[in-house]
Amino acid sequence: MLDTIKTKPIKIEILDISPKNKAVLEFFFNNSGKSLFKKSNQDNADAFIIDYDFPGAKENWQKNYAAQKKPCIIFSFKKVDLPNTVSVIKPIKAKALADAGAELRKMMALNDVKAEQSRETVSKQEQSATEKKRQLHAEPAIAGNDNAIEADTGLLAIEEEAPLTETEKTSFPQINAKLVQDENVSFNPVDLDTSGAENPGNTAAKTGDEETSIESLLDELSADMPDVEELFNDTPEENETGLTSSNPVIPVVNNPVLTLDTSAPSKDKSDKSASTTPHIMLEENDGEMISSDDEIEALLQSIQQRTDEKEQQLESIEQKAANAKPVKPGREPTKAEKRWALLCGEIDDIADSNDIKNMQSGSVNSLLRTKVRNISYNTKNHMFSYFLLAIKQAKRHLQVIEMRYLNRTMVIDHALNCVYCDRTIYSDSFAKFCSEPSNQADLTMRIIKDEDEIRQYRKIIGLAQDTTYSMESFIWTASLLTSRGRLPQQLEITDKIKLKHWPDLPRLEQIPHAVRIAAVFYKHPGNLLEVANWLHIPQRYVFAFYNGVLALDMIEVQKAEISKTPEPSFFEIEESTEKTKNRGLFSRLLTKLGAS
Amino acid sequence: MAITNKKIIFTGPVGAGKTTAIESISDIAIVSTNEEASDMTRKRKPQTTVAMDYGRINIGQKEKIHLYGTPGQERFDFMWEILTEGALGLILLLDSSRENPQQDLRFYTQSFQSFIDKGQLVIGVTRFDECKKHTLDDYRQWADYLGLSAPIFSVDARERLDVSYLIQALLYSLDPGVAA
Repeated sequence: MLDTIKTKPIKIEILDISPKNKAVLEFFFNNSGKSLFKKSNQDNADAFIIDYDFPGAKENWQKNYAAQKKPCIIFSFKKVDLPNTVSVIKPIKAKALADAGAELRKMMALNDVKAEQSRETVSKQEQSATEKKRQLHAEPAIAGNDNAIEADTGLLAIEEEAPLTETEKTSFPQINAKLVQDENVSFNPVDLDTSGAENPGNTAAKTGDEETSIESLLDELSADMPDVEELFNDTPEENETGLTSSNPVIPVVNNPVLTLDTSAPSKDKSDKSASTTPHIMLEENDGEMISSDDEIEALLQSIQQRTDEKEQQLESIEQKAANAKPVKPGREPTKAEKRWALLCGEIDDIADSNDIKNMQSGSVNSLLRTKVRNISYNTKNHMFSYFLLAIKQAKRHLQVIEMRYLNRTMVIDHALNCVYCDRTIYSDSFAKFCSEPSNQADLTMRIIKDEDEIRQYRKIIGLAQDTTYSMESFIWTASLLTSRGRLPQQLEITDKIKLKHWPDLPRLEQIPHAVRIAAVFYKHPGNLLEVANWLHIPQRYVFAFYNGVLALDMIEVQKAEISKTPEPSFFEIEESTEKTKNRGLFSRLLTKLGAS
Repeated sequence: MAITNKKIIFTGPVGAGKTTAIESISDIAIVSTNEEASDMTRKRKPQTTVAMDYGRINIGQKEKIHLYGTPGQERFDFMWEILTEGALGLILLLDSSRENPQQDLRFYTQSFQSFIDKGQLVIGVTRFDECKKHTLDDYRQWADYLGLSAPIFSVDARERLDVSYLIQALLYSLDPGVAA
C-alpha cells in the first residue's frame, strides 16, 4: 500500500493556479498523493507546480522562479518545453501527476549532482590554480615573466585543467549512491555509469527495489484517486448513485472532463422515430429517460476516450484569452484568428465611406442594396432558430426542454439558466452544425416533466460543466456561428440600432472590438455601416456583434427617418469636436490591459 | 512631459471583492487598511477595509492610474466622497450571494448619485457561480428601474481578465472613439 512505501514526499510550492484547482491539488496532496508530494512554501520547497494557462503565470515563472533552478511541474493545454520542468497536459490525471512526480525526482537528483559537480569543478580549479601558482613561484625560470603575470591573475589556471585524481573520478557515483540512501527515493536517480562506484552492488540493488516500488506506487495511486463524484458531491445520497469511472480523472482544470455521450443505445429508437416526424414536436414527456445509473456510468466511461473534441475546446478557451488583433497578410493566422473567421466570417466590407455618407443623407444606392442582399441569410433555415424557440419556451413556461437533432442532444434548463450540450460548442463540428441548413424532420423537442429525469440531467449538468453554458453564452456563440458575419434578411441597412443592455462580455466568446462596438451602440444609436466606419474597423465585426445582441434581444431598432433638414448624427460630427481630452492616456491604458 | 495621475474607484458592499479586484489588476502590491472585523462583517470575512485599498496601474514612467477601494460599511461613508473627487469612473461590485443584492444596488448608486450623474459607472456582479438566485437579467432590470445607464458584467474579482473588462467598459463608455 502507499503507506508502506517509505518515499519522502517532494516538498512542492503551488504557484499560480486557480483557487479551485489549488483546492483540488491540496486535496490530492493530503490524500492519495501524500506519499508523493507535500505542500510547502517557497523557502522550503524542493520544486514548484504552476498552471501556465493561468493569467500572468508565464511571466511570474520566468521573472521570479525560473532562475531558482528548482524543477517545476507545468500544467497547460499544450506541451511546454522548458528546461528543468515537467510538462503535464491538461486535463490532469492521477497517473500523469504521479509520473510527473517521478520525473521531478529525477530532475532534483540531477540538479544535486550537477551542483555537486560544479562545486567540485570549482574546487579543483581553485586547487589547480593554487598548485600552478605555487609551481610558477617555485620555478620562475621555466614559467617566464608573461606566464607569471597570467598566473597572478588566475587566468592560466582556469584555461588548463589538471587531470582528475582517482578519488575525483569516483566522486559522482558516490554522490549518486549517497543521495539514494539519504532520500530513499524510488528511481534510478541519474543516468551515469556506476561501474566505477565504490559500492556498486549496493546502489544497484537499492535502485532495482525502488523501481519496483514506484511501479506499484503508481498503480495504487491511480486506484486510490478520489472518485470524481466525491469531489463534486457532498451528500451521501448522491454518492450512492454509482457514477464512477474506471479511469478516474482529477478535475484539476476549471472544466472537468465529463460529458454525456450521445451514443446511448436506448435513445436511438426514439431518435429514429422522431426523425420521420415532419414537424417539430413538443412532446409531453413520453420519451425514454436516461435514468439508470449503469447507463450513465457507461456514458461517462466512453466519454473519457473522446479526446479530440476536448482538445479543440481547450484550444478554444486559449483563444478566448488571446488578444484581438487583425490578421496581417503574409503570415499564418493564429488559432484565435481562425476562430474569429468562424464567428465573424471573412466577408470584405460592403460599403465605402462615400456609400455611408450617401446613406446618412438619405440615399442608398442599388449596388449597396444588392451587396447587402448577397450577404443576407434566413435564420429559419438554420437550427439556431429552433434553439431560440426552445430557449424562449423554457424561460416563459419555466420548463426543462430536451432537443435532439441527428446525434446531438441539448437540454435547456430554465432554473439553472443554462444549456447543457452533449459536446462542446467551441469545436469546428459545432460551427459546421450551426452554419449548415437544417432539416426540421430530424429535430425533436421534448418538455421534460418527470422529476427523476430532471434530477438525472441536473446531476449530469453538475458534472459536465465544460459542456454546460449560460443561456447567454450559448445564444451568443450559436448565433455568431450561424450568421458568420452575414446579415439577417429582415434587416434594413439604414435602421439605427440602440443597445438596451451590454451583453455579459467577460463570459461570452470573444470577438475583436466587441467592447468598443458595445460602447458605441449603447451611447449612440447608429446603423451598422456608420458605426463600423466611425470605429475604423472591418464591417463584419459589427455585423457579428449585431447578430449576437439581436439574438439576445438586447437591441432596439429605430427606423431611419428622412427629413428635409436632417440634423447631423453623432457619426457625422468630426472627431475633433468629440471629447478626446484623455484619449491618448485611455489608448495606452487599453493597450496595457490587452484590449482589442 | 508632466506626470498624469488619474483614479478609478471600486466600491460595493462588504465581501464583494473590491480588494481582490484591485489586487488582480494592480502593478504594485496593494496597500490595504484592513482591521479585524468586529461586527456582522465577521460572518463574511475575518478582516475588512476601514479606510481604503490602494493599487496602481503604471503606464510608462509618467502616467499612473490609481485604484482606490472604498470601505464597504456604511459608517465609513465619509471616505466615499473624498475618494471619488476627480475620479475617472466608478466600478460598483455587487455580491450575488448576499441576501438582497437589489437593495445593495439601490443603496450604493444612491450614495454615489452625484458622481454617477456626471461620471461613468460600471457594475460587476461577483459570486455568480455560488448563488443562482438571480440572473444577470435581474440586475439589468433593477438598473433600468433605477434609471441607471451602465454596463453590467458577471465577474470573478480574482481574474485579471474580468477586472480588465470592467475597466475597458469604463474607458470605452467615456470615449467610444478611443482605440487601443
